[in-house]
Amino acid sequence: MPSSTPFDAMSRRHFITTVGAGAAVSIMGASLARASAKEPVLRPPGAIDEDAFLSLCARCGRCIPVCPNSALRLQGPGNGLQNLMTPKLVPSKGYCIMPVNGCQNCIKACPAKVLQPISLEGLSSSQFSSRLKMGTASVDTRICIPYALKQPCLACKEICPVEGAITTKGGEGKGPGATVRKPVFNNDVCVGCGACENACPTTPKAVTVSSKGAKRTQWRA
Amino acid sequence: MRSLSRRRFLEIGAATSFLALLNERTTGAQSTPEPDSVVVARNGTPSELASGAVRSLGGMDSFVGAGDVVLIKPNASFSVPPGTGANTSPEIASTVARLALEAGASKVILTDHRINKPGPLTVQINGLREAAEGCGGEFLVLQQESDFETVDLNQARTLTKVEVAKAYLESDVLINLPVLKHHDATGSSVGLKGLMGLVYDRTVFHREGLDATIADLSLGIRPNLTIVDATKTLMTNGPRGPGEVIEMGKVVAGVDPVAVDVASMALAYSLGYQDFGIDDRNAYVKIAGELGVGDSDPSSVLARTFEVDVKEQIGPCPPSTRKGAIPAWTPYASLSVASVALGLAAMVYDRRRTRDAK
Repeated sequence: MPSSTPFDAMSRRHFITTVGAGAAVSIMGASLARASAKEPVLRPPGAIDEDAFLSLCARCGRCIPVCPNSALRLQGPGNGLQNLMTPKLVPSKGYCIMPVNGCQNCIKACPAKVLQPISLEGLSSSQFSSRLKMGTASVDTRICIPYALKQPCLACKEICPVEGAITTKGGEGKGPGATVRKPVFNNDVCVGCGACENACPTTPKAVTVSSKGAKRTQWRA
Repeated sequence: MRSLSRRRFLEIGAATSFLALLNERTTGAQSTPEPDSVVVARNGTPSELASGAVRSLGGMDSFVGAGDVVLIKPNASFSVPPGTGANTSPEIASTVARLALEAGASKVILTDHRINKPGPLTVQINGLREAAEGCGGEFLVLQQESDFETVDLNQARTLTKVEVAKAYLESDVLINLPVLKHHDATGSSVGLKGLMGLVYDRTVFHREGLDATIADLSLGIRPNLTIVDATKTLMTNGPRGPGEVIEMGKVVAGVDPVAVDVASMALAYSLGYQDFGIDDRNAYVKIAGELGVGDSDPSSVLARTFEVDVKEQIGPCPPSTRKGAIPAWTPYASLSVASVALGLAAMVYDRRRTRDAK
């Protein structure tokens, strides 16, 4: 066997690089796989069925800048490879104003039609959730100011555009703390616009909106 | 039978003194508005009520000088149409803006920090932008951090620093133009609560306790005049509604921001709406009184609250010390005379009856 030292030296370096790269890829893959086990993403209004959404969304990002309330962001690498670059509603940044004025900017901007038009005409705001339901708000009573500190707050109810989505309980008593009303979230009426999470004054947010209970539309050309 | 008539005489006398005492309590109130009064205008359109209330306090000229920059702070932060009680009536807002311009203001700016985003859409839906621009004013929607500047609040107990609208710091006159409405968290929302609309970060108010921080804020932002829209009042499910809206048909105005709040809440409380009471609810009014911002004692406020019928009002009200006015003790004296006469008549009647019986 001829002494082909250059090849031998290369092969050793090659071996080490390959092992390193392989380790890096497998660590990244494992982390992505673990991340993909997280709960489904909170989507913009009118989003079609999640499986269809993931296969048809062009990841073009055209829905992001047209939102008048800067509520949409592109999903980063932290939530699974399949969700990468898809749009999500981030209530801490902004919230969907479709319940306020019927805005359809993101839907109109979508070239792949994975966001389908929704008409709220003729409905009172308490009936919106029959057609528009992006997710559901919930409260962590360990952090929520009226529950935990017995102090008045209700910043969430103040901002909520949907009648009956947030109601109150308590507050009929007399004396310190007994006059404080606490928010109650009504899952069936909530459309998941994210206004309440946006307004919640605590850190971390006591009120959060998740994609739980979202009603998805069907894709149409 | 003599003893009977004497007893009756005494009974009537006692009843009269009681009535006279009651009467003295009512005549203790001011009979005409003065600059430190709280005026409650009634019986008119929203526009007539607002201008009538301002006229009773001496007219807009006594608040706005020639060339002043006037900042008007209505409630304009909710994206609901007019008439729902969540925002100040656009009709009243434009009336007050017009009065300020007529009084010689160089610039009239209406402003509020929107709660419902985006701000421009909100003031389009609630009609306040149109109200401002329709009469030569402008609407400034506060939403950027650069619209605000941090100021120190001396004497404050909880909120020692706060970011306040630059528009306020740069203005000559601030007219607070809130709407009287129910508020789930504090009880009710009138003038002092409305001043949160000139602040950037309201979340700190919710975290530190609304009552303490609202009272502290009233140390830093002092309106020259407060005019409260109590024409259509949201009585339940405030501050955004939808809730029960009552046609109250009143406008409350005054210089003392705390007293105006007290008088406005009393209007709703007197109709049986407990949330407008000042106890553990609306505690910020009491704290503001303790901090020396104004008068928070309901009885002393009501003693200088004056109701004005704008239909009867002609020009500015005359001062209370004018010559030839009926003195305040007149009702007392006339009631006493009437009671003595009634007692004598009863005595004569008794005597005549006993004489006839004989």
